[in-house]
Amino acid sequence: MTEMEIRPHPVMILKFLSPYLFVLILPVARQIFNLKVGRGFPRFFILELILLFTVIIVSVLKWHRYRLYISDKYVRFTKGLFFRIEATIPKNRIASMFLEKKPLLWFIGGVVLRFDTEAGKPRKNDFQMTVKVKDVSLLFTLLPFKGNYFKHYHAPTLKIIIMALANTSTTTGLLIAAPIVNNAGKLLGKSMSDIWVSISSVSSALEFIIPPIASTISIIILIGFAVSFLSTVFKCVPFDLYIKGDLITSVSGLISKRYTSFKREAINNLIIIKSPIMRILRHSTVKVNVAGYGKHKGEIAVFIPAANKRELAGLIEDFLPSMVSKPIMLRPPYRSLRRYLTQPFVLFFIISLVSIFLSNRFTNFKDFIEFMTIISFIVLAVFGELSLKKYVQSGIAFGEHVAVLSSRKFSLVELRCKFEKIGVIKISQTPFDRKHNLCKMKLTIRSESADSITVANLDYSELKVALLNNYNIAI
Amino acid sequence: MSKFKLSPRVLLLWRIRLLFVDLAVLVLCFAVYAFFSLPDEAVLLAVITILISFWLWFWYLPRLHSSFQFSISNEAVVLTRGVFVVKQYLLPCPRLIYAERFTTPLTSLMGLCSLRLKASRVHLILPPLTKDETAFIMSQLDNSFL
Repeated sequence: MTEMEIRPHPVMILKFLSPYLFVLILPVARQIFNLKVGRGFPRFFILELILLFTVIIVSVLKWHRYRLYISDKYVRFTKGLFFRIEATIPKNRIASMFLEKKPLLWFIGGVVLRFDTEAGKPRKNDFQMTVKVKDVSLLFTLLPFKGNYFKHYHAPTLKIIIMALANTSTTTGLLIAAPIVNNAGKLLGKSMSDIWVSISSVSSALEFIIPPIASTISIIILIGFAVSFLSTVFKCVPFDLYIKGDLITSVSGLISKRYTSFKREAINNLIIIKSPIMRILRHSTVKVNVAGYGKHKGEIAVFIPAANKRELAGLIEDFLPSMVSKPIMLRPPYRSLRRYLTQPFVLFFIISLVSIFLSNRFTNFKDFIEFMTIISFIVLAVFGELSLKKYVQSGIAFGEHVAVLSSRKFSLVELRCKFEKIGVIKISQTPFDRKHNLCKMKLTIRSESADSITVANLDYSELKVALLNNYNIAI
Repeated sequence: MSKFKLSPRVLLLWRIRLLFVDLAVLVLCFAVYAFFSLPDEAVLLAVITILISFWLWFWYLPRLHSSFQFSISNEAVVLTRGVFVVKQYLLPCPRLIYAERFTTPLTSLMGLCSLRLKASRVHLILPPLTKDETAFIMSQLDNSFL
């Protein structure tokens, strides 16, 4: 079979040099600068210079030996200098292909390519390379499509903003903002403590509304949230979904344009998420589980950013007709209602008691404790509402396609998949469950990311009958 | 079904790697002796290293080498290994996604090559095989993939 060879863009040499940037390259550059301004001859300068040239030569040789070959039925890649890796992947095993046009790379004619299979680690691509723009047309043969069906969906910007509000987290924002600020501080010779000082001076203006300690923390959280929100918006806007035959391509991004292509059959499962903010706005987000899609930090495997119930049903019927909604067959029985109500009440009493104790014990921090108690009660209210919703809406529908409704943290989640994609069904019973003939069922999908969903408080006898009737599985 | 046992070159490879590790530990002992002035500790560490190396060289590695058995058929890949605890790994062929060849400078010099068989959420690392054996296994796997 004839193979088309794709060589990496020379910018990959910089990628191989990047681990040595702060430990070797910048120190040598600083020493050369010191030499030029007459600050004397550094002690290990020659040795470091030799090391630097060795690293540069090794990086160039690694770039030279990095290759991708595409044929009719498979792709083959080779990489590494001393430790060589060569792999042959059949095209029908490639789950997704990802292309990213970063602004800086685009100026020098480079595009980032990644492709993934169901094998490998969840957070690591099977293959990644920066290719030249002229080779992009060859890459479209990686995932050939079959059929004449064509559909296009463009998500309105407002829907993306709703999704960004509901899906961003302060942790993501802090993880993005903190390393950037920290590294910038290192380069300029400034420490993080200077940043903290400037933030606390802003917070002093709010101390007549919120206790002083909480105001400093909340500003940091808000900055993190804002960074995370803007990052998600810029990554997802504009969002387009194209279906050509059996190939689905999502295109998104304002500054960096991202193209992710995958076959319909590569979708392991669909997840419909209603976070607390989404529930208020009566919208849901739809994500797909495909190897390689939404893999990287800050990336979301979005299929439909946000849609109300009617829009959602229409879009899923258009794009994924095999994943349409099914009526729920098995729900938690009435006798399990008490379990859903007990936990919020117990937590209410615990929070109240702890708050009273701490307020009496640490009188100087009374304002702060009261504020935290109010926040805890708000969170508890959301948790209580979710518990009731779980009782009313959770359950399972069996058949050739399975639909499971449950919750994850504070969000209502619905998982839809084909029965053949299910890896493991785990049914567990505590002594209290056995007493009431209840059980908990956990479903894990057979995929790289092994998505799972758990439904609690199902009738054990009914579950046994459903598994036997639908799949001939006797337990 | 095709069955394989490890080539004697693999035992030699493991022994060479053991020598490299010993060399590194002995250099460390020398450093402890010369720069930290701890002669007793350095000698003790060197003696323990040499004793363990003797045991590995003459007893453990030959037994580990002979314990390896590998077979491939249309249904599954089976790998058996272990001296004290014998483990058997079964990887059904339909679950295999792809195979990866991995070589180091030393294995290349000795005409050997390792294979990593990748499935969903798991991979099976085969011990170093000769290039002919590797090519044969890859052709068997290609037939099941393509």
